[in-house]
Amino acid sequence: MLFNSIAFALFLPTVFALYWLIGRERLRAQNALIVAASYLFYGWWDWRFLFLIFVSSFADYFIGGRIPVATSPKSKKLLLVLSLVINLGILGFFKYFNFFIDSFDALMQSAGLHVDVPTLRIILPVGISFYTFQTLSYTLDIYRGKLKPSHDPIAFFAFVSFFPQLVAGPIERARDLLPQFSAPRTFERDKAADGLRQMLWGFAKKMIVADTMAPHVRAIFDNAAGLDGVTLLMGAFFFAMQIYCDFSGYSDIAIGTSRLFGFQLSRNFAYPYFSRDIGEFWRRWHISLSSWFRDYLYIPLGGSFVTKSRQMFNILVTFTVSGLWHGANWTFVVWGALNGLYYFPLMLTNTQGRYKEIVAADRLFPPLGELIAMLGTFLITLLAWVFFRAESVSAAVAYIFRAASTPWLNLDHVSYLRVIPFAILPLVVEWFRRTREHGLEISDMVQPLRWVTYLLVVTAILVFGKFGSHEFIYFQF
Amino acid sequence: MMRFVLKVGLFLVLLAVFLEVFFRLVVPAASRPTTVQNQVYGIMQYDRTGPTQGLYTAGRQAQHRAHWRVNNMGWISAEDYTGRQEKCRPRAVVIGNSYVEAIYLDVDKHLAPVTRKELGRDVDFYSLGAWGVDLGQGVKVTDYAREVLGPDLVILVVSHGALRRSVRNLANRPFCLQVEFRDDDALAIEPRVFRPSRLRGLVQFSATLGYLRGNAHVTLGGGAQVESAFAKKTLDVENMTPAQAREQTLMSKGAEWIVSRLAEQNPGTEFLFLVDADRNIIQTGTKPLPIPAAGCLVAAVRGRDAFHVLDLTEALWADYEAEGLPLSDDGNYHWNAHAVQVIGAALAQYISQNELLSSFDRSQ
Repeated sequence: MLFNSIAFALFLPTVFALYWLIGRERLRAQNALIVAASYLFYGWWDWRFLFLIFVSSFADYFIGGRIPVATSPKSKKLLLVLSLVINLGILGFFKYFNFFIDSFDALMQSAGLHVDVPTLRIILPVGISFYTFQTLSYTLDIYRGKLKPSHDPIAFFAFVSFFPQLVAGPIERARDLLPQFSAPRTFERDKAADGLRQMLWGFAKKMIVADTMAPHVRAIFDNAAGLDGVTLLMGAFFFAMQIYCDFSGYSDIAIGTSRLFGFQLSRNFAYPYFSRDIGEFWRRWHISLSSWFRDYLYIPLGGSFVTKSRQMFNILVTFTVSGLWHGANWTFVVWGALNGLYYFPLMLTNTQGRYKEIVAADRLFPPLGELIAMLGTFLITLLAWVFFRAESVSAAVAYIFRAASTPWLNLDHVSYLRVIPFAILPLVVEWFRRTREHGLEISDMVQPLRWVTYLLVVTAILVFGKFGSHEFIYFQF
Repeated sequence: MMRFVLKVGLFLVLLAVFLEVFFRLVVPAASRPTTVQNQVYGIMQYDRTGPTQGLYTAGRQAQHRAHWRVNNMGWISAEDYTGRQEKCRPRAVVIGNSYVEAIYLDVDKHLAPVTRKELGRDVDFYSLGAWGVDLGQGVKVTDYAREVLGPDLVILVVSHGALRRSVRNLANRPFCLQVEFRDDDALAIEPRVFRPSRLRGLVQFSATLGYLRGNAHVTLGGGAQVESAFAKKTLDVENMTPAQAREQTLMSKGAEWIVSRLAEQNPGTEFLFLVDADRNIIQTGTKPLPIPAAGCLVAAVRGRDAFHVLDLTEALWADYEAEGLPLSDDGNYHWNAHAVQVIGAALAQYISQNELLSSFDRSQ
């Protein structure tokens, strides 16, 4: 079920009403309702997907319960490996089977060998990359002794399938979200109101900005070979805004929705395009995923407690794997590796953790040096986004090469000029709200002004937003 | 919690009021006349008891606007019509669907007034268009026209699909007259009684719902309607699949049935089928083949002196080749004002050359 659909508009108030009518004293009933609603939400796409999430949930609930009582460290490890095999096996099969077959076939052909390996027609279940990582965090944290296993299967199933964040995150850690299912939730008016505001902002970013960018991005990337440099640069910029508004919009809706039910999800985006270096960017972009890879891949590889060269290798591996997580295509692998390479200068100068606070937190505009740093960081992320969006690595290289080498004064891009305000608007709004959790966090305004703002945003969505089955980009991951 | 719910409820009420004002004054929502069914003749017309004038808008910012008017006889027209008893000059009627109703164009830019202007003569040119009227239903509208208006010339506009949808074997149109072929028998399927839903009334009353439906094209399924006027590719008559061949056969039989029925019930009246062209292909810079209906109608009228077929492919292609102007507007597959002008000129020329409105019969 899409957030931007009439089905969800009917689903959400119904579940909300039933949830609070059940009451906070009847915790198990509330959790059971969440499981039922979440399975309905997820099964709306395809009921067959429910089987996989059930298997993943059941397996990790069972394994998580056995790990602490395992008789030996070897048994514990075996159980963890079993969890990894099940979850990564499901993920690997549904997401990467054909990719590896095709890559193997291409490799054999380049060596002059003909190998006829059949590919399968496999449907990619929506959100599989997200919930498998979420359940893995459960077994991994239990193995590490950071979490006690849950003895409430309903709470656990609700944790795995929680509909606001099921299909596109944030990827919640079991130690953060699972306890919330085991404790009574309280309806807090201010949090719920801000949750609605955050949802509204998410819908605005998705429906007005991301979906407006989408056809222009498609047109530019599909016809890159015949376009001028400025248009190609605009295409990359439009895609940067499309993917940001699409993904952060979804996260805003997810976080806002969960607050209606008394839950607090992790922040997933913290104005990444205002970053001054790549280190800051990755502390602000898809935070739940980057922190997951930091904790469960980078640190186990040695993290920062190894030699500099090994650290750099670890970063490169982590980002490359992160790229592969995004999709079964070499473009994502290159995108990830490129971001890993971007880290090298910071690691060599030990400045990767330099920027902690948001830029110009106590002033209107940043100093010139930081402004230049922001623009530079934005440009290198644009370069990487080209790989993320392109159909193939060679298409991405051709795109970049053409953007750099074609005449820059060609006026063919005139038709795209009217789209630029849509692309810039969220940056402007979020710049002025950058010390807040989200762009529409306006609780400090007087009520009449807040309501006028809401009216204008809703009207803007109706007049400029795109209706129809425009899926969120990250559903394909 | 109750306070929260009440506040949200209050906001939603305020939002509804705000949007109603906004979509009436700032970005006017598309308004349409109310469709009613004439129970005597089984045809769709427009309600004269409700608003008889309005503003139709299209586009998300209502950038396209056109005024409509329902006349004394329940048709979209700038002028009122006189009955057959009051007829004092040659009279033509143009019958068809949304191409003739043309609510997306100002009433004075419709095909009927444009053609009359091109003719430059003192004739009546009445427009009897209603959304969704296919060629089969045009037979029933002709019955109405014969008895109420007494035309000398009946022009039936044939848009893409209008003939196909007249055959029940190929499409189900419950509110239109259709023919169904069972073995060698042709069975006329009369239109069902049309009862407007209350929901439709609500949509027409509410500017917000009107905007969502008419401008944003939001459907109950949550998606946006996708308009498509033409087949994805031209029919290759040399290499038809069995299904395509069957369809063509049924369409040919449908055309025969329609022409025969028109001839039987309207002796002395001239008929002209005005067949649209594949404008999608024209606007790619290629001259297209005629749409499938054209060939079926040409075959059906062969040997009948009172029946004519004017295929607009030549006229529209020649104009596009010379002027390069679009023949339909963005997001609207119908004829735009320029296309109507071209078609009106071609129609007027055809009428003049074939002397189709040279005299009139007071007894018609």
